[in-house]
Amino acid sequence: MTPTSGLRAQTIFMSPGTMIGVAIVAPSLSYVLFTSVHGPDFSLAAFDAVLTSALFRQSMVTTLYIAGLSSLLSLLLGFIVALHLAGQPARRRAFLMVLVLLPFWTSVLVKCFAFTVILGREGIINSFLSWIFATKIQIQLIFNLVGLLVGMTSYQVPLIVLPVLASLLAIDGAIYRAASIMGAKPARIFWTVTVPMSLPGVLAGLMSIFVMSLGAFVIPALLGGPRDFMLSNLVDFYNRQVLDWPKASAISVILFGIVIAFATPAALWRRRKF
Amino acid sequence: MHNATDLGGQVAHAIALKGISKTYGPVTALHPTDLSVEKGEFLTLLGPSGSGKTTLLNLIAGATGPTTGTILLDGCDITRMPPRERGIGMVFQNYALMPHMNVFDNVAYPLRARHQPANTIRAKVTEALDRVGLRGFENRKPRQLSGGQQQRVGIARCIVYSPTIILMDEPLGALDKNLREQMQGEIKRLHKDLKTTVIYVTHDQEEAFNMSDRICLMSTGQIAQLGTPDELYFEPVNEFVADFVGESNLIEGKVTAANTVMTSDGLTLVVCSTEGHAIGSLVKVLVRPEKIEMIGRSAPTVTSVRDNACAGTVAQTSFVGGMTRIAVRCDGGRILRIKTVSSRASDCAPAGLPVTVSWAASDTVVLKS
Repeated sequence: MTPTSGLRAQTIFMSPGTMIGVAIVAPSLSYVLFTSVHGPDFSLAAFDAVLTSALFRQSMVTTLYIAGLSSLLSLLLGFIVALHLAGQPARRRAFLMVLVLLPFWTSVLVKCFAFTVILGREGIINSFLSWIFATKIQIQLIFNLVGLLVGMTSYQVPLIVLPVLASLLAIDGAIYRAASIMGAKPARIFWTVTVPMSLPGVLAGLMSIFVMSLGAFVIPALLGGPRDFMLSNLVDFYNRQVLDWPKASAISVILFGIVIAFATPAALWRRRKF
Repeated sequence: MHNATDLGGQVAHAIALKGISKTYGPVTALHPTDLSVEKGEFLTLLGPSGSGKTTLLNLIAGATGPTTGTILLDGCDITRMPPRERGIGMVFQNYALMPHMNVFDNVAYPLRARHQPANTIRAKVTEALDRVGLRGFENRKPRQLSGGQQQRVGIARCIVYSPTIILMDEPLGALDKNLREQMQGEIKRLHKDLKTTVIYVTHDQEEAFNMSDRICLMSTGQIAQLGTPDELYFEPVNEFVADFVGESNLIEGKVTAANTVMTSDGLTLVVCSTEGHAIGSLVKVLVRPEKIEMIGRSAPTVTSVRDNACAGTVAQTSFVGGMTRIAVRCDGGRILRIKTVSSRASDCAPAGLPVTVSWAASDTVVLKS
């Protein structure tokens, strides 16, 4: 493909996205930006207040921590799933892909409710354990970090399986056969062929789920504990509880900035040619 | 011929396949086959696609297990041994190099898998790269090399650990014609220098003839004929072999007496031998196009009188470089293909020219019909 025709193709594929962006997202974002600097006059007071507040800094650390931890966990789980899928015949793989994507297509609210049924004090897991050990067991599995991570990973795993699977399927089967006939054991083949050759998909997937989970709101609100307060929840807090819209907007703008800071290098890296 | 090493009266084959077969569900990829390859031999598995040659190679490599039979490598049963323990080398058609590793790391891969010390690895990799003429390319990635260079890396990676057998799966299939011929020469030279046993798969008859000590011609999952290039060309055992290796004229007829075949249109042919064909049985007489001599009928003198002759006219002449192909329609309507060394167009036989074609009995082979 010539550079010009490539560019033209890109424009065609990008145009619906661009239209939505210009018509819907940009005005709302501009309004948020406007609110963040609009007191009685133009002022950066909201930013100043937010950046010096301990609550904001705490939430920011929590956000990065939860997003990072859940993304790594999802990578671990997703990689295993992708490895298994890559080893299946095409027809079976298509069926298993539907199973992977089914929860992804389910509303996040429905999933969170399902997790409260499974993980709750009287939930399926605790009831089962109580029955096994014939004593009342009530392990705290939701409204804390455990519940939050379960919710976050269930949301992220399907999203990382796709790019990792694509990378794994792109590896020429002859390379595995070559490595094996040259005397490499499965563990060596995994570390010298599978891992390095799936790295592009792994990094792309990791970046996208990390960036997406930075803005997580419903899952920490419904499954997390009081200490798992992420930036989106803080926005909600200032917006609805305190009614301090400039501060809520200022946090939104900062969160947006963080997302851009992580997404830009990821997008650039993905364009890199091998 | 090749003399196998004699070990206390026992012939030690580099590899021996006994009753090996492979079926995939209802499909038989390889019928029970026996094949042994001697040490230092260059054996080519030749055949059209789907003939079972790649299946046979994969069975030796251990990429797939046989349905029946055993495989002996140097006398040891390796039928159920995983590929990594067989110590076999393999060169792939699409090179199968590690794209994320440079040339050095690619060639060092089998040595690192064997946990050899770093200085040994450096010395062996350097030697292997020397042999394939790629010294100085250590830090290049495969994508920075041409197809021919990538396959040299593939070969270096294979010879670096001195495997007892090297399998080559259409290694030159992805290269253009000139490069292919050059690489054939290099592989032959490497084989001579290293004295390794090579099993080579190709569907290119010329390549097989140029390189092999012996050729195993395969068809529909079976060995059609196993022999030297000479034997395959001059003593094909059936029509398939005759047709696959080179061009051929096949004349149908009936054996009427010893060394005599009569065609349906009454032509009597003197042949080399009818041994193994009963009188009265239907046969096909093979004559190679380059063995048929053509003389213009208006020529004042007949230069040679050969065993078989028939009159006809030139139907078509095609000039294809060094050789000219001529189709002659014999008086009975039969078309005979003739191949002669090209001469200038002015000396060429024009279509419609009445000619006499002739060939010697010693240039015929009688095949079962």
